[in-house]
Amino acid sequence: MLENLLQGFATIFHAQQILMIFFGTFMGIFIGALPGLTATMGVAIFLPLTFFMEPVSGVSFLLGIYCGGIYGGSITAILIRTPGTPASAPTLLDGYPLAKQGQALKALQMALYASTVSGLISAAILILVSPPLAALALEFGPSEYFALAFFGLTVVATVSGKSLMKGLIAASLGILISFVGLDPVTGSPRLTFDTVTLQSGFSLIPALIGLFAMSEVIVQAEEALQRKVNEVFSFAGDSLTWKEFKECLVTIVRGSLIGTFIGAVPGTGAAVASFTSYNEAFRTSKKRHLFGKGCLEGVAAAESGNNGVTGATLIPLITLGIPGDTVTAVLLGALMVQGLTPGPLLFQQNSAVIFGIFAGLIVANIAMLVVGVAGVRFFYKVSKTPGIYLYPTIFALCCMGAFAVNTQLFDVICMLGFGFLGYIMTKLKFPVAPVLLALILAPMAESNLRRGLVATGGDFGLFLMRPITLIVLGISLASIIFFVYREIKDAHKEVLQEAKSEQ
Amino acid sequence: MKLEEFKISFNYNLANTVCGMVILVLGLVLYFYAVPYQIDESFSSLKSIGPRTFPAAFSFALIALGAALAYKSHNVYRKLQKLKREGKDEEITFSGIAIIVAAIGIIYTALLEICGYVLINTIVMVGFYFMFGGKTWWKGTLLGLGVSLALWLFFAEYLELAIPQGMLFGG
Repeated sequence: MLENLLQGFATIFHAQQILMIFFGTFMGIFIGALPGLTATMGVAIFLPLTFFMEPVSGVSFLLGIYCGGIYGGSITAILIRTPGTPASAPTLLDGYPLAKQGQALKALQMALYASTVSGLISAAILILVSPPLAALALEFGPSEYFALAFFGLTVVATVSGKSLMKGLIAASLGILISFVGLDPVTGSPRLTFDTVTLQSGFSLIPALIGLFAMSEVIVQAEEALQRKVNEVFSFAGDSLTWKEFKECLVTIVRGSLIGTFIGAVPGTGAAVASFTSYNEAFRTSKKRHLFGKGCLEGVAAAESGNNGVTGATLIPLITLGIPGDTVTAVLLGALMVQGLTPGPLLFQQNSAVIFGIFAGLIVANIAMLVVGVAGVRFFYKVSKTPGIYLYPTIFALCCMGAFAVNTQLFDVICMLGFGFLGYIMTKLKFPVAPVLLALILAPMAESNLRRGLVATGGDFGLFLMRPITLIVLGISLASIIFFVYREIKDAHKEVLQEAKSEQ
Repeated sequence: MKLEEFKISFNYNLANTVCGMVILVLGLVLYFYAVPYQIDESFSSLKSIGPRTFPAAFSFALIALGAALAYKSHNVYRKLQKLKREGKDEEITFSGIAIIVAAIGIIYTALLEICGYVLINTIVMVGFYFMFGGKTWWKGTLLGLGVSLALWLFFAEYLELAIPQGMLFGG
């Protein structure tokens, strides 16, 4: 493995590749520092730029955006009490009070160092865990892949937010959209309404640019007109000392491990990791009384938690081909555009590429430290970029990005259509992520189930009676039961509360 | 009228009821028209699961979920109307921006191949600039032209993609 990793570093250590990673990290922090723009959106916007890059350069560039985007959210959380990304929400609990006390620089440095350390720990665990898991997954057939895709679809419940019903509607819509095109087994047209353009189905990239970038442009454009700017703090205060960093090291390592564990579980994500890490630090800290009033440990916990997921989310993606969250779903699109199908075979056939990407992730985390230290004042200014320049530029990037996929106007129309679908869904409080997850996972589930059944002569028993399939389906079933139970319990609670308020 | 003032508000639960009904109708159309008439099952070798199975199942799911959403939202709406407690029922507001973005999107796609990428993108970006409250012509034009030319140079010249030059320019 070490040899492969060194080979990966050899692939990545070229001026152009390193420059692209630094540029990606820079753009990631830039986007993360803009309130409302997320790391997912950043990856979606810049994905088309990678179409013509080497796979390692392209994916490493996007990983730079991803890592930078997650960290960048902390800058505005600390300075203007507006988390740039949802994952930075707990950072403001202590970051903003610290800024108020004139210790903004300390808080920003702690956020950066904690993010870097946790990103590196997460990358190391990714490198250690992925190869054996991929080796195990080599034994998988259509039956196991169906079970995994099915499990991936149950993730919908966790990314559905408050309403499971709305999440299921969004997923069903995504699944139905994924059926448009040629049937994966017979090759006959499905739901194409006799049009040639629809025979190749809806391209994934325009769909994800529309759902995650274009819809946000409309939502943010609306909010930008009404947004009030909170009190802004300067960079006054001392730098972080080694002693202060050392005091938080245990919290950072614990946060990194929490982030890594949560990141490896499909359907969780950086925001969950950040809150869990913060809560755990609060529970175990000796300075508990300072939490929420300006505690460096709180900033360290939140930031190590959210950046801890960056490497771990790639574990199910690269080894099994299952995207655990929206940003990895977008990264899956990037890999597929490069002609690489994530999964165990990728390790066998393209191990140089995979270890190049791993090396790229490590470099991206180091780049984040360098760019973060050098450009913190610049990114703070960036966070105040007026919408009059920002949104027209994002619109132009979305349109060009969608067009560049197949150089077809139809893709731009699709991107705009998905953008409006995402906008209406956001307004009506429907989660958008299930649409994308369904678009990716439904064809995988369907084609594997049908191919597997053809091989077994239509015998469901023979198809399902495999140990890994049964275990994965069992876990999926258990999680479905859990989410349905939680939904019923919440509804019951609501009824009781209403009855109380009526009395 | 200023852009900020152009707003349409709906009762949240009522909007969800309508949305549930739209989903229900969509599911019915898919289940009773699209699946039987737009999917050919004659090539399928399996009797149990063919090209129609999953589309039919998920169209049915859409029908059930749409009906459930409409029913649940309408019930909540009625309850809240009965209580008539101020501020308890939320509203969702769609502003004029969405309509303008939709119009810009339609113009953009309709004129892209006629006017060419650089021209139409510049026009649209200048439009966006003013829509967001920009006031200076030259700044808007500089932004639109600068971004359009930069993207053109990268995608058309460097990556050699066939970006529309426009009929007006002999493309």
